[in-house]
Amino acid sequence: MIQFGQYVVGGLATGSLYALVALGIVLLYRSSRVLNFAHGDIATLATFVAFTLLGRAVPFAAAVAAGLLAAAALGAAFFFFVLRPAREASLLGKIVITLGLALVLSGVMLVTWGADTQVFPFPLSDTRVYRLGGVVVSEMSVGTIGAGMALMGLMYGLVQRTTLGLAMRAVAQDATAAQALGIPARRIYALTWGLASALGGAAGVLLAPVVYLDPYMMLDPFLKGFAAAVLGGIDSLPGAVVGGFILGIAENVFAGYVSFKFKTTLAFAIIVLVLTVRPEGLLGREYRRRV
Amino acid sequence: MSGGDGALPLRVANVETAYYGRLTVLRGVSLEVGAGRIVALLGSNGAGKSTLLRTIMGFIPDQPEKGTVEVLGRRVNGWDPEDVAALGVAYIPEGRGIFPELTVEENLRLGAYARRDVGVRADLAAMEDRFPVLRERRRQLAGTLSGGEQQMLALARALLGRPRLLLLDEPSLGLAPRLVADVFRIIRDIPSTGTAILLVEQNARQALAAADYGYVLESGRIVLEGTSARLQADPNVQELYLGAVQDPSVKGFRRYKIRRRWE
Repeated sequence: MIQFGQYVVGGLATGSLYALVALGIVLLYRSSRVLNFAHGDIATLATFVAFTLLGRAVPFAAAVAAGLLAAAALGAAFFFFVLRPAREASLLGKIVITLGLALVLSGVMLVTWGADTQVFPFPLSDTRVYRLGGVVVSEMSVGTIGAGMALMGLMYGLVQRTTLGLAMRAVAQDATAAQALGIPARRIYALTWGLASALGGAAGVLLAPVVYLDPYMMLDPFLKGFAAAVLGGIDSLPGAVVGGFILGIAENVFAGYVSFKFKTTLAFAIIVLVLTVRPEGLLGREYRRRV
Repeated sequence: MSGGDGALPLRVANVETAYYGRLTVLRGVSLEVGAGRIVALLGSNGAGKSTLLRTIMGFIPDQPEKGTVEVLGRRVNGWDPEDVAALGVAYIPEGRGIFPELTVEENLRLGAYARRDVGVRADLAAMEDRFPVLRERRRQLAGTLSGGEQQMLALARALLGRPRLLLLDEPSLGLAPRLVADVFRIIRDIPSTGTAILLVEQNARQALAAADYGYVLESGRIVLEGTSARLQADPNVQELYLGAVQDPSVKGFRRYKIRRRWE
């Protein structure tokens, strides 16, 4: 039982990372139906920016804030200067454009920072641990789960409780009607891109101390986050969180009891199973609405 | 905000609009809406009525090709829709443009999005007094409302922005006759709060009964204009838009030709 608890706690930490990535993907999908394939690379870039600043003796909080701001600025700029001029392109075309951004970004990162893995200095330790009734939790895991939960709470508050969030939801549903009410739809889109990118960046910063930093660091977490988003329902923000945690925990439990090598396989087996029973995802609604 | 109270809510002069720069829909349309007036714009399907409203709001990129759209004394050609709206224009598109997955209350709050004054809360309450059904359904998702209730919601939401000009596209579309009468009763009351209306309608009988003045748009041109009384008395309007019964006659074809000439 203690063993199981151990795996679940590990899964919670991984799951909150997946959930953060998934939230960013869902946020963008809901607002414009675009799947952002550059999500992981923007996150890695944010982490590299923070890493570089840390190397210049900038305080940790400031460096991370600068990294997230860089991600947000990049996301918003990408919307304004690339997606906006290409607004007549089909949805598929726009998705391919994000794929192009992903390739450009990973190239830039390779040239700037090299392909070697780097150690990302983090104020929390992976080896200092707490014991909760037999279950061992590292400081890093506590930090990751805490930060993840806090960010998810902030997002919920912003989207559900503020006028700005209301405007974001309105633009996501019907941009034309929103504009007719005087809501600046383009600025809202840009803001959504910025927020989603910053969320991804947060996931990157939390992941870097565990897996080491390199330009391809976010590849696996991006795919898992995408899978989590589909599992939870690609148009549902709570679904992204639920999907992220289910995926993280299932993966960890499976890796612990059965096979570490096949943990990713299991994750996707779960997704296939869920989508067979509920095509719209666990909390999604889109499928029903279209029928 | 410049423009002043003396400026006309809407002045459209010689507007030409083409979709994709090729398909010309409006061919030199001019009309005016005075303060506190209801002006009806009649016309059959494809005449360009909705296109005119979309042009005024700035929803058609790079249009109008020629002519001027003036809202409250400001030339708004090339403006973004949200900026036109912020001048004091509310636009209810065909299909009503409500947000189906937001609650009724959230929809209403968005109506006052562009307002920065403190009277919003009081106006919300007043609007719920005016439309009691919206208070009952306040927590319901707007998509679950009936067609008539959705039209009420759209009207209430538009009025919460305290617009100087309201552009209405086919408010009666898809409503049962009784609801149409309800909707028009509300529309007739709107000018008393200082909002002028440009009303696009196919239901000419109701529209002319509510309006002070009317224009008839056909194939992108204004073919007739006048006071509501004059339009109601016009034989062509009667036959084409009010469905007055004419004697069946072998001269029907000739009359057809006459009516297309609009004297």
